[in-house]
Amino acid sequence: MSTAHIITHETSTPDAQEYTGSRLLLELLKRENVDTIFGYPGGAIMPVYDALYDFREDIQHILVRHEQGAAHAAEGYARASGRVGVCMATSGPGATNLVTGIADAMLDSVPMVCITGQVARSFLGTDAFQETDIIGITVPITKWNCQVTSAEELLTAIPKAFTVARSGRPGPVLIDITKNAQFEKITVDLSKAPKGRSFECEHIVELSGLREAARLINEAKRPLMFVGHGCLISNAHEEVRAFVEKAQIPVASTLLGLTTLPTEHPLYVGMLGMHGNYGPNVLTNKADVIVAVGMRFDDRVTGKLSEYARDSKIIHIDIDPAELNKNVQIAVGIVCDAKQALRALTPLIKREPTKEWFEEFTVCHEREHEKVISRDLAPRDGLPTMSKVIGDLGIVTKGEAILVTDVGQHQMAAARYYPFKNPNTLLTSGGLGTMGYALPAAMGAAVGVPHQRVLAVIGDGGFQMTLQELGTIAQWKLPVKIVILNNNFLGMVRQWQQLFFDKRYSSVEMENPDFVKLAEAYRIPSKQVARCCDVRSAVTEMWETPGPYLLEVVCEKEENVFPMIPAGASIADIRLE
Amino acid sequence: MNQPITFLVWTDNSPGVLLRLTTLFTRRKINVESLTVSATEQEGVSRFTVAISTDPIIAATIGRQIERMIEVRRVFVFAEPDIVHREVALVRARLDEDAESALPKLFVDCKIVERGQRGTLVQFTGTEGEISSLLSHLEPHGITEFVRSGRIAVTLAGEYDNDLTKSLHDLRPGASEGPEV
Repeated sequence: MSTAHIITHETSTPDAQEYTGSRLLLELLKRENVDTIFGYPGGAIMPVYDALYDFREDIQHILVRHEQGAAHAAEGYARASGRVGVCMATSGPGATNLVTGIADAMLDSVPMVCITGQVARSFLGTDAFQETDIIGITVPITKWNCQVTSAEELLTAIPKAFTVARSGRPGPVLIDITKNAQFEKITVDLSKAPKGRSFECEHIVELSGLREAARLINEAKRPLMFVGHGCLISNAHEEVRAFVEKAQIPVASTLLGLTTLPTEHPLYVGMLGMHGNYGPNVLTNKADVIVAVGMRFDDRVTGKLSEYARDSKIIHIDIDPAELNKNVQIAVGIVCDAKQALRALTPLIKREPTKEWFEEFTVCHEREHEKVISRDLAPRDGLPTMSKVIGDLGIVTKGEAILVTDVGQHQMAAARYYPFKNPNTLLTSGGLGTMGYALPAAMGAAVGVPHQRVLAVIGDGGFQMTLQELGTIAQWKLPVKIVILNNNFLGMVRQWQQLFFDKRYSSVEMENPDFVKLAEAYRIPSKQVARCCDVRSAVTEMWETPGPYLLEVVCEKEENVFPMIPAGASIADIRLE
Repeated sequence: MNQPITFLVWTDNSPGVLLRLTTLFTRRKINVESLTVSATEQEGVSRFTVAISTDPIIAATIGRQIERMIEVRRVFVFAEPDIVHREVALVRARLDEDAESALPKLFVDCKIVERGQRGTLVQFTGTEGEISSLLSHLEPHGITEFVRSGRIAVTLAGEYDNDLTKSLHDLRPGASEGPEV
């Protein structure tokens, strides 16, 4: 290993000290207020783990059971706390195991810094043991990445990584550090080294459309507002509320925008998208003006583009200019942080509310209630439906949990039926749709916001993708309440096979382990219920038990999630049954 | 409707930029027809010229996606009429004396570099179309080797403005539907 002693210009100052690259890395992380790293050690990151031993008072390292768990835990930590999540892994398989979590963070704009060890600089490109080109692999799924091959480069790479991760539209950053850089010694005065703020990224702000936007809104007869994840990232829930209450506009949310307004807010009309509510979907095509804030017109929201909102003038407010005019044709584009844009827009609003327009939403809601909601929440047979379980969870937790979901039918049930009270209390994998996300993300959330209570709702399929993190949860006694909605099926795929593939069930049925015994093996209290009437009391018991808890609810096997917009169909073709 | 599009991109001169930039084309299965990178009048800054053929609406979106790369300083997206572009070609062909002496009259920016057993090496500067004409002209004589530099481009009158959709401003998304999933 290289131990070259680099003399930098700061050595002349009395506060200059000698650091190894590893110690320098941890000092720099400390300066970015990092208090937690989710990670897994290995050969090429050993020097950092050795240095970490001296930092254990300041930085807790949470040893996960698989690196994918570290990445999702860092995401959960970041999304729940609003701070940058940090995960760490060794080279080769350690680094590649992070990939799914990084891609997830990229699509859902989660600020995360991933640190990977790498073989020594002299071995790069030689197919050395556990060498993999993680920089090349992660280029398309990171906001920025960088390989560090000397200790000195850390001085700029680390603060820049944090600035890039959290600024503008947040996203994941990967820093790959060769082993020689971890060993290398450097003398430096850290008080003179650049901090994150010195790398402030330039952001385009384009507010010139504000007046035109206000004019369109003020003249609109059937306006509709869409809120997306950007509203939560910019902490704009109060600005959204002030705007809509002044403008008296119905508000619909994307999956990731849920919780921007409480579910019970009188102007909130429901969720958009493939399994969203009936009203906001069909009435999108009747709106004359759409105000879309911090959302990106994902295909799960728009359905068939050529039949989407053709009669609407769309005002699109987003911090990322690349989202404007990407999928839909807009009338006015405003490139800005949601909070700032809404603060500027609200004073310009002056309009008369249109009662008839709200009545159309009421009619749609009544239709959805009759066809879908009443059946979902009052199942006829003994077995609980996912929706009913979510309803009971909502009642027991009073809608105040940090709800973490996995991906699939239970995710849609949770999004549709949990009565969210507070902003930013839903963590779910939206863009990438990552099964296996919930358990580690919930673990990260429990670490990131220890004063809040975390509830993870997971299907039997997704749970088995990352269930090894029960070990981490048990070891750290993290108070994650886990609810497995078990239908012994990959439910969403089965639903598609039923509806669109002539009920040819191909590889969707699962013979599952005894989840209660599995939890017991990890010394986590657990229970199984299989009758609708037992759910409420079991949920209460779970919620009142300190520490982690696993509740398995055996659900109706062939329940379907409705409404549903078939893939590739127009939002007008939404099905209620 | 696909049409020739040229991207001019100024970036920090750091490793990895080339890969990150090209993935924005390859992820859409767009073939990069020509790509050149060089130093610029400004130290530490590289200049990319990327020529592709695509729908201008998609080109504008890709331009904005390039623009959000951390290392990127400026991006311009141009349709054909707004730029001056050139390539250099080196062609080795079996030319007799008459053919050789006729060349500079037919192709003004043409130069004989060397003569050898494998033929005469001709250097030519021009647009892609002019280079194709040269190749057609030399074809009957027997081309033994041929390479071209790829496009470099500047704007007409050296004017750049920051509107990514310059020359593409009438085109909006929604006109073309991708495959449904």
